[in-house]
Amino acid sequence: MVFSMISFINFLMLFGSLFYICNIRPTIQRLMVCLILNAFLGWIALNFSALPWLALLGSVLLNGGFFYRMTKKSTAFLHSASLLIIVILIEYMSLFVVERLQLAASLHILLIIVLFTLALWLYKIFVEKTFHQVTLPIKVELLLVILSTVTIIVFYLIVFLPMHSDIVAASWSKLMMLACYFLFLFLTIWLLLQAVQKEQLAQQQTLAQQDLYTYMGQLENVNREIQKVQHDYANILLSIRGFLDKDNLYGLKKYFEKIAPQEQQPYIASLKQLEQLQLFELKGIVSAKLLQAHTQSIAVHIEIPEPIQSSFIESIDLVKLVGILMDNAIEATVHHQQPHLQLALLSIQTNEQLIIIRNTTKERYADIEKLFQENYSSKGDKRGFGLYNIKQLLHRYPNITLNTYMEEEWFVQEVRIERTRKHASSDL
Amino acid sequence: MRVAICEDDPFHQQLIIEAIQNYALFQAPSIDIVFCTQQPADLLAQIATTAIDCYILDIELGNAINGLDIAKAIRDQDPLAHIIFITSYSNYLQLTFTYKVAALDFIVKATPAQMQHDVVEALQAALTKYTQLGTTASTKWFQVKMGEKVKNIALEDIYYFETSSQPHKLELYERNGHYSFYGALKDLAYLDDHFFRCHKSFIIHLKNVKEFNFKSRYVLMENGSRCPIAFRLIVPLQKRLKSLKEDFA
Repeated sequence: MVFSMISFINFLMLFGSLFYICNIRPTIQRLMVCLILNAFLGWIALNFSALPWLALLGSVLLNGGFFYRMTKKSTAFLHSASLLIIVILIEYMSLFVVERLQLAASLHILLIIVLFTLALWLYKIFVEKTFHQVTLPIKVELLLVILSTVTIIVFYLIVFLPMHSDIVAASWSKLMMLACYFLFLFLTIWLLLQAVQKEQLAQQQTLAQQDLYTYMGQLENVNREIQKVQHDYANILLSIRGFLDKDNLYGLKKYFEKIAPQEQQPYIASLKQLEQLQLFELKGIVSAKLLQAHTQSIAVHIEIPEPIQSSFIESIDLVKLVGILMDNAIEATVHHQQPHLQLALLSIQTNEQLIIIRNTTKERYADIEKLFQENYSSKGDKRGFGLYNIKQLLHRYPNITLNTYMEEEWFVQEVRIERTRKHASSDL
Repeated sequence: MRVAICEDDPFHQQLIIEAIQNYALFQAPSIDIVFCTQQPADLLAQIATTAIDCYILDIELGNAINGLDIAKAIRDQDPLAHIIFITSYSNYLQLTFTYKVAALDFIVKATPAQMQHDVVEALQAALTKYTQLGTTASTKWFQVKMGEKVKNIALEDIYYFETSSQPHKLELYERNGHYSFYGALKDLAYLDDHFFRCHKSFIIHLKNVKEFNFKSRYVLMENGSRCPIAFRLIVPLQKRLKSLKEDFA
């Protein structure tokens, strides 16, 4: 009875915490799979009791593998290994405390549960702080896998070193060793992730700079275009004067009809609107996407009626968000007979910003949704991560609201970003 | 419906008045031009004293007061007013006006005939909305607001509401889109009989269900999403379905 309860608690600790750390909803099927895995591991441990490392290795690999399948992140292996260590660490620690203070056995279990919950909570905070939004390069992922493997080996060495007769002393030394190792592991991972994050930030900045260079190049084009228009107007006025001098009203009328419909090119008007945008990273990405749309002969139209000086979310995330939404719009409109793309950046009072993106499309809403679904395969490998990334962004920023819908033949993406307390001091 | 016009160009002003009068004379006698000016300041003064339902504004107006400012002043005064803009540029800040002051329509100054035609069309749309305001049309729509723009979603198109992973928000899935907004499911109890709260975090539209699976306790919506059914709500759900069927028969 007690044994089965303990194994049940063990099961909960191992798998429940994995669900918790990986942010996965535990459904009945998933729990069943976990139970089967657990039973299999138990069977291995019983049958190969001469080789205790087999069950451990199996545990890390199977659990990690199962959660890797669900999360598609190699960190699942790391979590699986480090959670195992945490469990062992906590068990030793509470054993130590119970033995030292001569407490009742029932308190032992309670202590394990309390300590484990605390450790799990801390671990989760650590994970969310360090792993958030960092897309790991392959070599770093490999390093993490190697770290997990080394962890298992160290763990094996420490736990299955020949037991001393004095159980308390043994658990004390083991506890210290494990704790040291654990500290070392966390420090390494933390430093590693910091480095990766820095590198990615630098990369992003280079990209933003490149976008800005493109924007400057485009501005020069605009300048040239405006000069041309001015020149044209001078010519037009001269011609009108010519007609007037000869009192040729009929000729003037015909000439006027011919030149009247000339309006400023929407592309140039749009580029001019960008002047209002004082967030340079955003200016870069918008102008780059504008150019991309323009070269794909999509008619673009941009509205930024008031200067925009600050962002209510991290600018790196704002750039990502706008980039994805504009990619979506461009992708959805290229096949339309009259491809149109409209973008508006508006501030509503001082505490809200709206990003409105509209484009013509011939798809229905259900198909559009599919278009941006994760891993949607008909569009090649690189596409389709947009929606996934946006979902992660929304998860991290409760102050972002996203609506997407069809209005006749227009596909509309509306984003509202509210000012949060964090940005309350920054002026608009 | 009482209409006010603010247009600084006398020629275009005359065109608009003519178009409206002709339309009112033959098709919609309820339309009445109550005020007409070339000065935005006059209009702003008038708003306070006269009841006006529909405004026709020239955006450029060649005056110190910007079209956007007038529209905002009108909005502050009368949140339900219909605002129609007239502009010389096609697409001139169309989205801005839609989302900042909920402009209803835009008329681009083109040839006189085209312009008069557009005025009538815009008026028709305004009139339809105006008459809907009086009736109980609001029960047929669910409204989601973004900026000042109100998006009307037909209730019959709605698949389901779900509590969002973002705190205090709800998600709405319908035939033509997906929205999120602040709210709680218990505030949606006023919705008609076709809506049923089948789970603590779901309200489904019973007519847009493709399949009820009481054994595995979920409903399959027409867009392919699955919503869970809470165990204790199976019987009430079956009862509701039965009563709906009887109503229908």
